Amino acid sequence: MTPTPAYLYYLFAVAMLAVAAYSVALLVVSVAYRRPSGWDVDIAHLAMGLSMAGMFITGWAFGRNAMWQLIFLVLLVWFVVRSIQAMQLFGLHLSHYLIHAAMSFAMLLMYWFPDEPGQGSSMSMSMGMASGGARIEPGLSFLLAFLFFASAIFTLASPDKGASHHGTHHRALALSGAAGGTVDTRPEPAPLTGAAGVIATPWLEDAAHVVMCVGMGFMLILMI
Amino acid sequence: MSVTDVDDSRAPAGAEADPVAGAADGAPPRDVRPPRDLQRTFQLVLATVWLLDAVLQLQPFMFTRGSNGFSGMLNGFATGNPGWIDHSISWNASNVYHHPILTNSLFALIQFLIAFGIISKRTVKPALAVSIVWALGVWWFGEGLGTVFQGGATPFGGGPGGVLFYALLAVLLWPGGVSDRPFVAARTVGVRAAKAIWVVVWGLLAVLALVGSGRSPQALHDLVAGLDSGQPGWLAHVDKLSAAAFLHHGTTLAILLAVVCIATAASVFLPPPATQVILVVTMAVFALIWVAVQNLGGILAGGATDPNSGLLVIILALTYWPQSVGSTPISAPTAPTPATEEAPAP
Repeated sequence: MTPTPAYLYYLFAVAMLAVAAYSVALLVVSVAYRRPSGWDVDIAHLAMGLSMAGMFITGWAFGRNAMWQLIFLVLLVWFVVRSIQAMQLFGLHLSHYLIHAAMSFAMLLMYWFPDEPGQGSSMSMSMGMASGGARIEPGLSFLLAFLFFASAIFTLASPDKGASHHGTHHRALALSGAAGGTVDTRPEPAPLTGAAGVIATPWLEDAAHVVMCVGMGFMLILMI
Repeated sequence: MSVTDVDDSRAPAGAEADPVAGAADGAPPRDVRPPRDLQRTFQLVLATVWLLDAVLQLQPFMFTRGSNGFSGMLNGFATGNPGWIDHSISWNASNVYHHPILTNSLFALIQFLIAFGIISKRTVKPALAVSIVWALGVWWFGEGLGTVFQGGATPFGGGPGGVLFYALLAVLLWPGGVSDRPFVAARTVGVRAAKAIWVVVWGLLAVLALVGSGRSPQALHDLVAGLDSGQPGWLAHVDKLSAAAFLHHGTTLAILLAVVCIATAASVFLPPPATQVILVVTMAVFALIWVAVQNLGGILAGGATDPNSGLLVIILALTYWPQSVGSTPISAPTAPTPATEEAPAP
């Protein structure tokens, strides 16, 4: 059963599916044009979009909890490793991988501590059946939700369009001799043209990230 | 050491470190950008809080009729106000009661528009203007004028109304001005006006800490004692400690808070190091109040519409943090750079 007002949950579920579909299109572009970056974020958004659509509308859920948990655990490990690699190369800085790691972690939490009727919100989610009665620590939910909202706002405001997918990182200790990295001197890759260029528009990639952040933040607030 | 934007995504995995790549021939390092303007950063933080509020407005209970719903919450603020104010709040609550989905969807939409409107430099001014009007409306119809007329607007509980700080921040963060001011809040309104606003705000908070039920141990105890329902265990435990402290030392704590507020009011006239020390103390006090008394606005209990005043007071204090003149970044927007590709995983 979908809680009132139903339109709201359908709206968010459709938005999640739209992000998932867009991620598939981006993946196709990445494969066709051998784009080396952003594909991991697209895979994450695809999994998150499909999974969260099923959280907003129970009837749209599919797959076992264990499957989703495995997917998000792998994604979490992947993004954490990539964050560490980025820091090893460039010193202490806010890698864009960190927010994707946080989002993968949030998804894992949602499956580990699913919402239950009568606890907190009135959401009725498909993964509720496997609950052991525990719930996400509300403080952690709030912290993650606020982080995602901040990511949404600062991503939209950033002049570095597409950075949420490909990374143009804010680097503390810039120009410090303690740590740094080689900036690739290869020429810039040729921009995509035609339909691929439209699909892979940097601001659209950011928009997908923003929609995912808001949707996930809303879900976390509902699970408090 | 400033925080700068550096494109590190084009480095091949396993490349040797070279912090000044691109500078060997005397040219500036590639893809190093100046830090974001501080006024802009605070605007975006404010937008984040508005986005949080918008999403909180979408919680299921907001769409529910009755005393446990949003309309019941609004109606509760009418009591104790002068008759005509009471009637206006009841009238609004009645509208929400009869059309909960329509009205609440509209309320959420307005807050989404404010949040996303602040992001764009073309819409930031209209968005901030709407936020001021909206905040004043919420203060009246949604917070019962912060219970000022009921004598219970103590800053411990968020008095004179957390939403007023949204409006205040919108004024202080209005785009424009010069970047060589001693603190961000003075950019647009000027140093004198900003200091005057600061003194009035903190003077008012000091007064509210001492008048009415603000210094009553029992009232302060009741302020916290009623909050622990639905809170996570650790916060309910903190509430018990806070309630006990208020019951035994309520008046003393109210006087101490008033002293902190007066010291904070005076801080803008002191040398920057002294100002910084006082602001740190003020922010620590209000962080403690936000958690231990306001319970983060009740968000963790699943029944909040906003994070209450603690968080906003801290943001306000940060906008008055002394800057060394000339070190603040230029307001000019940084030139957009093309998105870059990342090296494949090793």
